[in-house]
Amino acid sequence: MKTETTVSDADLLRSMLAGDEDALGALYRRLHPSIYRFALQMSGSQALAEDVTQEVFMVLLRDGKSYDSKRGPLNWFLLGIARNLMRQRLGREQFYAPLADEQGELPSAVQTQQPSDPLTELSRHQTIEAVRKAVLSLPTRYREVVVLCELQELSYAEAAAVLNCAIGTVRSRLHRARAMLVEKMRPVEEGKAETSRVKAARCFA
Amino acid sequence: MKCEKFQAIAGQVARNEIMDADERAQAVAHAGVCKRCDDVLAAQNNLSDSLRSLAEDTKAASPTAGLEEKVLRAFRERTKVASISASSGRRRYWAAAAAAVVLLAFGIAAWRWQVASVQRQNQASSRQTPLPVNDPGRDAPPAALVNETPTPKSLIAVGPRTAKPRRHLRTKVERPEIAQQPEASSVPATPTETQEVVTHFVSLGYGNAFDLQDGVQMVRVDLPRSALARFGLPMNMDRADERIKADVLVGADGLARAIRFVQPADQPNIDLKPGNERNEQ
Repeated sequence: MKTETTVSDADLLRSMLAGDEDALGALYRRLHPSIYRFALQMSGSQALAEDVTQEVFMVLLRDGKSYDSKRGPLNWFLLGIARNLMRQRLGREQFYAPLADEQGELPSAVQTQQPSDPLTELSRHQTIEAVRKAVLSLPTRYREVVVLCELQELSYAEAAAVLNCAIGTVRSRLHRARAMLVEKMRPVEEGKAETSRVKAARCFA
Repeated sequence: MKCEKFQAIAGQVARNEIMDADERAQAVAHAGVCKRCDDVLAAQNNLSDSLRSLAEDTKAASPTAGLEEKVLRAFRERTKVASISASSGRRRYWAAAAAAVVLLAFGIAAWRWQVASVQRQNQASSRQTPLPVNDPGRDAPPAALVNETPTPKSLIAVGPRTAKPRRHLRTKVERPEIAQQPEASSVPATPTETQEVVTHFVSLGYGNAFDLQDGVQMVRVDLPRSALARFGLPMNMDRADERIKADVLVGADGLARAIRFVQPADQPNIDLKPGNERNEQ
């Protein structure tokens, strides 16, 4: 009897489309982390990420027959669906301002780990929040490549397959996105430097 | 390496992408001598570190436990709906098939009933069609046509047809196949008819030939011999008092349309014009 790890995604998908609920469970457990992370990193909202993740699997239930294994792994197919859904949701919700309690809801590994050095962890947390905000402030087309290539660690070819564009497009967008992120992160770095200079002056005083 | 070239590949150097070793070495060397490009490379390295930290931070993020149950519940509902719709689809299929069979049976029955009724009408009309007195069976259809089952197309488009008279009533030649049909035998030819000599039909000017399409009857009459002169035929004035026979075509409206003169073959008193034919039988 095959275990979940030995059965390919395509076989699980076929079983799921035939009505096998266990196959859907196996597919969900195998593929949902990357989908959820992509949605979370794209939106910055846990609720929206969960909605999109659920919707991706609903689309898979409905249109799973349209998946062609020759065009890439099932994960890329689902990431492409998530990307389209996320674009729709972001376009719809750009007219709404988030509530105050939604802004700080992102789960952080910092909260779950035991801090070895409080100051180091605080600095790391500030850096993460700064880069998170910088990424979320990017235009969608640049944010997509940053999330896929930098945070999901996909190659240019894989990101191009997910985004359905040329590899050169991914490369140029990433170059442009990194330049924008550097510009957005500069005040933070300068602020850090300024703070350290102030501290130094106080020490010398 | 120039600064523009360095800044173009600074991101790739910071990401440790696979690139040409010489190019990477040149870029690192350029950063060592160019303060501005060194700052650019440092900023890119810091960005890569920050992004890596963010990726590690969100790597442990996971949705709430209820999400999987939501997806599975949606799957179960969808499967249930699909099975219900499939069974109702099969039911609709069989209902449509049964309806098609019933419609086909009704169509065939209606078609057969129509064919039968038209056949009955044809038979009735063929019995009621008046036949010419002196030319029995001339305009009746051949026996093969009478007994032939008409096609549905002709039945629908034309309807029951009655025997129509011929437009060119020129000769009195009886065709063999006509003589053999039952309607012809119902009006047997007299022995004298087979020995007559007739003239052309002469129009009487009470209508045109199209009026004959509605039906015509031929009536044998006796006329004074002087009537021959009226139609341009030669006449013996010494026998002007005698009577001669003539066939008059009477239309459906009762008006006489044409006339021809008849004489027995053993009394050649009328000078027939060339073209008149003697009966062969």
